Amino acid sequence: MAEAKPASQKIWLISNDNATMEVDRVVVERSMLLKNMLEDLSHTDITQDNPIPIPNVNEAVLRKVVEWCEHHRNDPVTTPDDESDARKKTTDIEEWDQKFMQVDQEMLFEIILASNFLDIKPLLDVGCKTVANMIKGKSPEEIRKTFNITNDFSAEEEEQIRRENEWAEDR
Amino acid sequence: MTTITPIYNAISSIKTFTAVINITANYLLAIPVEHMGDRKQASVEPQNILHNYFSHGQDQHSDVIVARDIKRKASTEISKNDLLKKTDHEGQAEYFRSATLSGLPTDIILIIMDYVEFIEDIIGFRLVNKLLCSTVQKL
Repeated sequence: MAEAKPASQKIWLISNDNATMEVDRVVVERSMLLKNMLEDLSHTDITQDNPIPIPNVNEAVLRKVVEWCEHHRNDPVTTPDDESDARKKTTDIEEWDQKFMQVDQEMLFEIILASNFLDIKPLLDVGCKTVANMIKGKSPEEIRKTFNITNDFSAEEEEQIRRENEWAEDR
Repeated sequence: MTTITPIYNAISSIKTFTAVINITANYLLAIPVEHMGDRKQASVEPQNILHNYFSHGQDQHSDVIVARDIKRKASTEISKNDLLKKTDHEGQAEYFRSATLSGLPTDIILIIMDYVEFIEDIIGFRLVNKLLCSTVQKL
């Protein structure tokens, strides 16, 4: 028989730099990875002395991810169909999420990587939309400048790609 | 009887601890979800390790078997600390490269490109550098 899970159950997570944080189970379950894992564990298995290690995610990033999960704790869980519809629609980001994503680029990409690892699709989408909005309407040079990317194309290679894409520019 | 009880308690706590570590290792070392075109959720196979451990008998006789299993597993499987060290330095090669646009995994760049929408922007993105160019060609 499935074990009843207390509504206010606490879960302890530990970041890769050994910071432990106590989080409501319902918040942790925004992560499909952790939700599946918790379903297989007895609620007595995770204690303050035996937290769930979150490798690859440092304290600052984990706190941001938990902050997002706290804010969205009551959001309905999206189905794969809902997600594909939402993706087709728009790059609009709700106001709270926009403010949440006003971080330096390193943190932004860390949040994207962590949400991918922890399987928090709505957060991954917000991160990807934020980056997409930073790319839209920019020239290759502006994109390089924005994201601090070095151009490793030779002039000939760049010209060749431009030629390959002439069909689109003629539209 | 008084000498058996502490040993029994010790075995029980090792059993629980090892089960948690195993289940944690199995999930956290699993390949993260790949977000491709249709964005189907990757399935995480349920692990039976915990059940196997807990289904060993509740009496002291079966604890002998459990203790033997734990000893064997301990020699072949990674410890909790090893898990942390391993994933810090090795496991992140593909999914945790660097926190830059070029360092993102291909799947994530493709999601971003989905949101970019306009063909002009996608073409412009191809001209940024070689890595991003080859990634966008996978669209």
